[in-house]
Amino acid sequence: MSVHNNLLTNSDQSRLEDLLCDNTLAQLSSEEQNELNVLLGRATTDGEAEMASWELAAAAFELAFEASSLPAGRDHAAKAMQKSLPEGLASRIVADSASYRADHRLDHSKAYGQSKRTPSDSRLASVVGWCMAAGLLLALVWQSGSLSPPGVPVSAEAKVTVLRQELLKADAQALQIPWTAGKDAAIAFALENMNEGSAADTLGDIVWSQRQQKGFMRICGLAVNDPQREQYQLWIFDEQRDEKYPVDGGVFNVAIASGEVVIPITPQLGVGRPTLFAITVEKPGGVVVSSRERLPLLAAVPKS
Amino acid sequence: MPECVSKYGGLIWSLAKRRLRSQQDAEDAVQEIFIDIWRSAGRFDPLVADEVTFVAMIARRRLIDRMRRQKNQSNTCSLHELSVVEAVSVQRFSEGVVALELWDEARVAAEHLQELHPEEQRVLRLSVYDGLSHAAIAEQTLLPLGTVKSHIRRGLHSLRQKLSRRSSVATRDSSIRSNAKTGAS
Repeated sequence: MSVHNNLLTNSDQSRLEDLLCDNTLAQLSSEEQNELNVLLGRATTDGEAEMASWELAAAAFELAFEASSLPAGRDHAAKAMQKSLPEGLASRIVADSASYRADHRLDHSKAYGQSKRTPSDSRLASVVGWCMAAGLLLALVWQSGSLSPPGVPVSAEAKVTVLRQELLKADAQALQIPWTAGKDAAIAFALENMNEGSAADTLGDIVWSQRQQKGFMRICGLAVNDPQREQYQLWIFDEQRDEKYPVDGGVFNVAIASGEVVIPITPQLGVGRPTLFAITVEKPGGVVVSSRERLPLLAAVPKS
Repeated sequence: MPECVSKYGGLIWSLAKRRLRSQQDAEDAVQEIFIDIWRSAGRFDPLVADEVTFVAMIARRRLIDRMRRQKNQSNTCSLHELSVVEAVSVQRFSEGVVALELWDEARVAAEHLQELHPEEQRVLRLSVYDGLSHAAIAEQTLLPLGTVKSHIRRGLHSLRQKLSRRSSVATRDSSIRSNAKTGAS
């Protein structure tokens, strides 16, 4: 990756390397920056790759110093490096990725260096690149950690019900909206077995505290799902966002054929002004953008 | 995303905290760095750099940009404490990286540092790790400015050449493997 260029004299080449090194360490004056630009302009090699090779060397040194500064002993060292980010920072990063959804095309125009590695060989492509391309899906998978335990009967999870009641008490402005059934097999059986006009009471409701940005779904009669084949996914439509991209409320399962399940909602993104809560049926893990083909339950927020 | 944040969050947070003055600055910087990582992911080439080195490179860029902005705003130097200057121990380094698995280039860098004179190691550490200016390093170490620049440039240049040779070998090996595969099929 050295600069070999017949437009540059040996002296120019040496100077270019000094400037590239100092540039890596942010040590260039404005005059030197101009000088570097002129020399790079005369060079026929890839200036960006040249700069990157210096930056990578500096990064490797920094990592070496960082690692040597870790506590002695493998376990202690590993623990020190796995220290968690400050509270809330990780979720803000996840939220950043979601705002990236609309513009998440990877720039494959040029890779640093000249190698011809295939994308499938790239670990970063598999970790970072994939995250970028499907940021929201990852957020969903993450959130499913808190939602993935199947909705359990109230009797077995009274704590969730208590929390729901506490939320209603704590926030007098909290929304409480009954579910409306959509046309989907997942709710059809429940509809067939309830009295006309009683669906609003029977299907359950959604409680949402705008102030606390959390809520609970109380659901009755939704069909048991096979998590290997499909999962339910909650979407929160927000007046302040594009209707095409509602906030995801996570994926969840229903494990019992009858009775009531209560599921907490803690979306990773902020909800500005909810207009509609909708449950769709999606593939396992959820989707980034729903086709909305299967909509068993809806809860529209009344216009104030 | 969680995998990425979990994998590199601690490292990036550590780099940011060391260079920036306040918790808020460091948190903002970490957010910026992750955004830049998503943006730059398509440019990553595993034959040119380890994933973690690539991530650290992006982190360095963003942190340097932020430090520049701070310096312009207040005209004061970074207030972080200088790291304890000590020789890099490969043993210590190895213990630190085992759990991370991917720090091959950093291992090369640590081995390379072992070959350097302690004075050169110290200068490189103050420059690359602590982010001091050449002039500040000269003041701190009582070395002539020219010597400081020379130590830094020589150290970085030689490591860069070592890493370039590694990536060239990796590229060639990959090409050979690819040809062999083609031939076999």
